[in-house]
Amino acid sequence: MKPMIYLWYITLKNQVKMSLRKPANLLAIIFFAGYFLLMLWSFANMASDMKLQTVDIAPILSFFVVLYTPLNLATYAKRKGIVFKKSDINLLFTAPLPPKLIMLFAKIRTIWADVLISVFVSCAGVLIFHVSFWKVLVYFLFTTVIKQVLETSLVLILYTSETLKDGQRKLISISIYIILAVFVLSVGVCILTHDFEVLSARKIMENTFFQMVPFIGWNVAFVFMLFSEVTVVNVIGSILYFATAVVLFVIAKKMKCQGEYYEDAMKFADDYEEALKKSKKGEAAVIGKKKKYLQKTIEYKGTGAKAIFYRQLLEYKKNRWFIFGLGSFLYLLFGVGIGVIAKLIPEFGELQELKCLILPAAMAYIAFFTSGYRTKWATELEHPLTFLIPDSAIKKLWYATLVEHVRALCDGLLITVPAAIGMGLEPVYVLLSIFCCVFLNAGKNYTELLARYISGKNAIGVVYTLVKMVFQGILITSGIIGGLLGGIFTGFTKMVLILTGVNAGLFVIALIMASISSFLFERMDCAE
Amino acid sequence: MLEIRNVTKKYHKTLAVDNVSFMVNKGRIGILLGPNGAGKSTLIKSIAGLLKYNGEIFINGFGARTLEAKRIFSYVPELPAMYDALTIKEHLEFTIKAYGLSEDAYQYADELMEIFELSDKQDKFGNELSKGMMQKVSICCGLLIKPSVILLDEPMVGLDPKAIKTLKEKILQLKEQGTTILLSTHMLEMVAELWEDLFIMNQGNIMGTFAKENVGNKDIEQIFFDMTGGENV
Repeated sequence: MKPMIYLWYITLKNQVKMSLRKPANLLAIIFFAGYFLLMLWSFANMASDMKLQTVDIAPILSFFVVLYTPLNLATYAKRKGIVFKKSDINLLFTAPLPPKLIMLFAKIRTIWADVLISVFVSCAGVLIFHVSFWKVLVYFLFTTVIKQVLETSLVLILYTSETLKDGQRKLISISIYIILAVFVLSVGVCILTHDFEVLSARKIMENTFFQMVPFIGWNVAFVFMLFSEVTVVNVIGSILYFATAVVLFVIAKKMKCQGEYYEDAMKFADDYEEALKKSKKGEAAVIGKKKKYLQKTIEYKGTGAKAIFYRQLLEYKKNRWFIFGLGSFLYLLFGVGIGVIAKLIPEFGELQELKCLILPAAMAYIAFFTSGYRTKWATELEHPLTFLIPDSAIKKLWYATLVEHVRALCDGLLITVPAAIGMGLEPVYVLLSIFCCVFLNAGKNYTELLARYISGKNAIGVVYTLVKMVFQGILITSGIIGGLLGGIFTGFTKMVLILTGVNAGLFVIALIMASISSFLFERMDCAE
Repeated sequence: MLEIRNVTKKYHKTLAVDNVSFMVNKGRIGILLGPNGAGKSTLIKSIAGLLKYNGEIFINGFGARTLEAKRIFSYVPELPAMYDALTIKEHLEFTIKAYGLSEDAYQYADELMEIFELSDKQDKFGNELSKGMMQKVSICCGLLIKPSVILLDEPMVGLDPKAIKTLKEKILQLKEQGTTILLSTHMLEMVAELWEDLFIMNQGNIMGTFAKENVGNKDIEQIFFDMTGGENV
């Protein structure tokens, strides 16, 4: 274990050193430390306000058990959650170290979150709930030792055993799923047999059936035994938990492992790093899932910059959902939601014409919310070919964003039509709302280039995100100013002019951004 | 000595390596050649113990997956990957710890960093290194353990001319010291003066095995293209 301890220690030491070098990271550390203290303080206030007795800590701690344990079990059942990096593969897997030990090391790397929660809970236990110190100490040891022994042994058995056949491993995974199903069922049964009242969650957790659910229930049983009262059920549950930990530990220790799991770990490491790379760039990525494309063709009806448009169109044609993505779904969801709420809540009618401003506000919210997701336009800036195509910058900018404008038009329709039906908007508002969506997204696209130009090489860093936010803020503010100007001219009586003002503001700023972008396009570095 | 006996590797229904057997004797330099998709990388990863396979692989008589084999075996991967938060020096120190090497290894680590021109960059972190520098670190880690058997997968890719020359010298030096070397490369000209045993691989099979002393004046390029019928490496 010495080499792993060395690796862990040096990594931690250097990471702290590197973090302190960057002010942004230092700020994040201060923020999280502050957050930790704030949480403690809020809990203290809450505990004081609610006059919680010592006994009340049991359901709170059980809540953490219920929150995390099923999630962990489901991950282990799928043989996921233990991540090896490519560097582990090159330097650890080939070293003369027992493969089981390497897996143990990888699992231990994941428990820091558990340990942090335990520290937090233990501090809260002593300082806020005034639980006796020995109980908190026992709880801390339980979560950081016994629980980890049980889970780590389970991981070792599921991931690394070479005596287990695939069928047997599957059987264990199915058993875990059955345990999870029993857990859900037990919650259901408890809810049905109790009235909904303030303490129903506690009653669920105290229920015999619930405390007999393997792993999750047994863990809760131990918490209740320690912090609440000792009952036959929670004693049995606790004994079963400890016994399981011991049995699994012995099995894990004795089983044969020569490193056959390396192949799966290697595949997972590749998929994980790929997904990580994508998510850093703001792309949606599911580990291990390769995007499938349809077989499609396209006829290029033009040369030069136009080719960018046709290539993008071809890429979208190969997508199962064509140009529609997560953003489109959100627009539709908001549209339907606004429409339904408008129909269901009679007070909505009192808003009268003001309700037409709900849509631009919702659009701005979605535009901000989805700003982390990359569009085709963003990827275009990483292709050297985009810069090399012999055509003018303005044409390249136009054709490289044309599909995005069409997408914005479709998104505008998706949010506006259902919302307009629900709210009973007049056609002129429908039209103006759709335009608003187009101008807003056009501006958003150009902020991408401006932010990249200003942040330079750090196109996925904090500076880039901040600059992008500033430009998006300018964009939305221009819409608001446009709306206010429209309102001032009409004494805020004609909503059509206010909405037209919003559109004009967005259009003008999008146009300015497009002009600056086309100028900078020739002068910027290719992102990759 | 590196011995591969009837190694077969399948990815679902795809047969990547088909019942391959060959041997590289002590103090010999074996070259594994083949076109893209021939199964070289799969075979190399199998030897390094990173893949499950059918058949047997022995390193100086020890099963490739045993700790005894790993103690005397080095692997320099085609795509080096470093720990982001570890410096070059710390990567070498980690190797010393992982292989349980003696204190003398620290001095050897310094020598390796010197000859691969890494001394002035030894405090650079893994995430600050270029691909070429990563490759140099990876080679240094591989050499540091003074292996009995070393496996080098495309080791010259990304290296500058001086580092290539240094690596070649090191390989010859290792050979003189009795190390068994298996090197996989696309660059025929890079191994022209190094090779002793040649294994030409295609479609998961070893198409031909040649020993330098048995081929007369034929050079490696001629042998390869005669065997593969002009197919690209």
